Amino acid sequence: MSDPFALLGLPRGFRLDETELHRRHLELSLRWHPDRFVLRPAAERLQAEDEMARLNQAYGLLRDPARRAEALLALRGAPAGEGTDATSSPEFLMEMMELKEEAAEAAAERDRARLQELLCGLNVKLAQEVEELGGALDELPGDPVEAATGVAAARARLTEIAYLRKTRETLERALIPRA
Amino acid sequence: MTDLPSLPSLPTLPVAGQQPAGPVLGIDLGTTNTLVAVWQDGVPRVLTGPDGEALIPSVVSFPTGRPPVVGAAALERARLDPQRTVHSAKRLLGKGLADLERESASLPYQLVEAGQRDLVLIDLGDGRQVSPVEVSAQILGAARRLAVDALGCGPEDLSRAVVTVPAYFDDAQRQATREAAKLAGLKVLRILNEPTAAALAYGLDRKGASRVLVYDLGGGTFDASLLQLDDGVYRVLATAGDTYLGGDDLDRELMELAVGLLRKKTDRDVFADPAARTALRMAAERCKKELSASPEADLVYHDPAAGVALRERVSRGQFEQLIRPLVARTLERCEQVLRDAGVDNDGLDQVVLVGGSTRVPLVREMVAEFFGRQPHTGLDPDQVVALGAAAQAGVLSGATAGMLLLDVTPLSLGIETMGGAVSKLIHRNAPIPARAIEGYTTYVDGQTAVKLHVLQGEREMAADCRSLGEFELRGIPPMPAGLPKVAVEFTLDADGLLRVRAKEERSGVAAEIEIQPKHGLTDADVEGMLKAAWDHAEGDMQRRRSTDLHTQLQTVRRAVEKNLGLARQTLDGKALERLQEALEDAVAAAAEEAPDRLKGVLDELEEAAYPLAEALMHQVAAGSIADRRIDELLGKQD
Repeated sequence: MSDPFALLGLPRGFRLDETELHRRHLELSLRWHPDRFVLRPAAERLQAEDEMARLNQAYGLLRDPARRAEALLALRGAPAGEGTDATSSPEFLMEMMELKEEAAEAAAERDRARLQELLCGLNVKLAQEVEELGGALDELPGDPVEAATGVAAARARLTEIAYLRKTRETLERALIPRA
Repeated sequence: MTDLPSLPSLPTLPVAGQQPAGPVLGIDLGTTNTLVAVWQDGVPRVLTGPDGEALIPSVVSFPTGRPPVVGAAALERARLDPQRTVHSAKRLLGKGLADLERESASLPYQLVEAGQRDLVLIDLGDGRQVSPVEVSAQILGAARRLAVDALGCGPEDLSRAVVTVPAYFDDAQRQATREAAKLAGLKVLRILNEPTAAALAYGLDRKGASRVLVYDLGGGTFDASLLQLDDGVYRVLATAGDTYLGGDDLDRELMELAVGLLRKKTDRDVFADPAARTALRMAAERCKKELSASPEADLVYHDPAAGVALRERVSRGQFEQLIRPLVARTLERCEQVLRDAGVDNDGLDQVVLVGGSTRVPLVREMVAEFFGRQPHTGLDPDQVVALGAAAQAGVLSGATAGMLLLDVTPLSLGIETMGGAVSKLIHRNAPIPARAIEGYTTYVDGQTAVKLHVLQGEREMAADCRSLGEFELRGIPPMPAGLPKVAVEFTLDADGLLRVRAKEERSGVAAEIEIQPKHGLTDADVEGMLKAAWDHAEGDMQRRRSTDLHTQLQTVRRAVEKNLGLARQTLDGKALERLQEALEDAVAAAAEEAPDRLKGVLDELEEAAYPLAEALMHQVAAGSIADRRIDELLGKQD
């Protein structure tokens, strides 16, 4: 994979300026979108389509914190699937179990206020996890052996984030009023 | 996002000689009506027929022994020749018979299954069968003829078009639309999403930055799209919809009401007769339209031949009670769009209503209540999509340099991995054109072919997503499992059409497909799939995880079993015992579903197998097997 940060002209790192990311993507879209090449020769048009697709791919990776983290790990030569996924702490698992029980109860009682509250809590937790993930990634030592612990920690955060997101979707679903 | 860079103006090149002289047509191929518009003198213009009418009813009649009749003339034949008069063909595009169960009961024409591609056909009852694609092609042909007459050019000069589709149309439905245009002799320069087209028309004379949600409830489909408008740049942030929710469904509620009342009067099954079904549908539609203007309307149906008559006064309140759940479903989609775009209600500048069904007062009311504001109703809901299509036609013919549209794909795309899980390559709401590459490997030793099953949808398991097609990558040289590197590349073009390539990188073996329509999904399916994706999010994730773990476990197990001989020679008693126990546990875990327990078994087996792996490596290093092939070393595939 080519470096998505380089493609969009942004410094490599987990913490990035989102406004700048959107701005860069838009600017490059204006330059490369195939619709800007309709009167140009076919070869140029195809090249533009390819370039735009690459830019969109990079944009998609960087826009989402979890995929951005995966991209960073891949750039460090530690792509997903290697070393399998790290296990989460028992505290995290307990917390999630409690949350699930509370959510099930609130959903059964149609207690929207409670569900909303749980959702807020979950979003805070998610933001914390992303923050921790950022810390783990942006402070990784360059040496791969020394970085191994940090990489493992980042992987654990990623698993937790995936879990939290699924839980959030379930909660959001429960909040939609049924006709 | 206020200080956007202005559009760089590219130097304009002369049009090449073989280009047709006429403008590119913008065609809104609707469920109920079709319109055609062109970009002229810097503005889009809807074209009208000799009678001054712009709407072409999307109806085609196929009289026996005579050429087909399209539009208003076909509509007139609906009661006369119901079996051979096809309306709402758009709802059948890219669908199989199984997808249309509920629909087919209320249609006056007969649906049958096509042989080859699992797509539905309409049986005309006189030995002829037509496909929804052919019906749509007839309508597109009529639109083209209207443009030829209105513009006074030769038909050969009007051979290029931008055709709109619901944003939530899947790959098969888009392909079917493209085929229909081809049949009508039109080259499609772009398949454009309807709500995006509406936003283009809305934004034409507006400057500055704003965020707009387009609520598009048409004759057969619903879409909600959120766009960021910035001085001629239209960026779609998220889209969602339901390709089986529209005016037809509102009509059906009234039809079912009428049928219920008629049952009390007669023993005859009114739905059995195609002419009665057509008459009922028209009565329902008329009643619905009247109820938009007045608080009460009559639902009138009579069949003198059968001696059945019905005149029922329906109040708006009664109608609204019937359709409320349908409107509520559209609002769920709106909520999803806001969530996907990460925008809250306050971040919206405008809610724009599009599509004929937004004339229904309850729709306006519920939308206003949901968004806490009065929606914008200033656009002609019938014309706005065609106007937007013409604007994009202007862009694609190089006539409108100051405008650019950045659209997204509505549904995620991925491939099936071992065990039936889906690996998503392109996520929903990804900007298009899109591209993604993922690496995969083989599952068994010496595997020379891999199956690539391409899927569309949001669920975690392949069985719950829509299958777009399958192909195989063959001729991979035999290698141990896990060694081949299969790179799968998805490219989604600006029309939202997918191409898949696969390449084994060590050997260079490659294969590719362009996805062709295969079989249909009901909309309840698309919606159900999405809904289920949330409802089952947790269960799915568990299932997926345990599937992955089972796969890993089997891979390790097989490797260990093959090398047990070596283990007996090299390991000490304790290590060997531990390995054998771990192996037994792994065998016993075959029916285990809990990921935690599976993970425990896998970890133990991996750890217990570590000395064996070391021994293997030593052997390799010592060269004792240097001249043996690696697959011999690991044992032949059983």
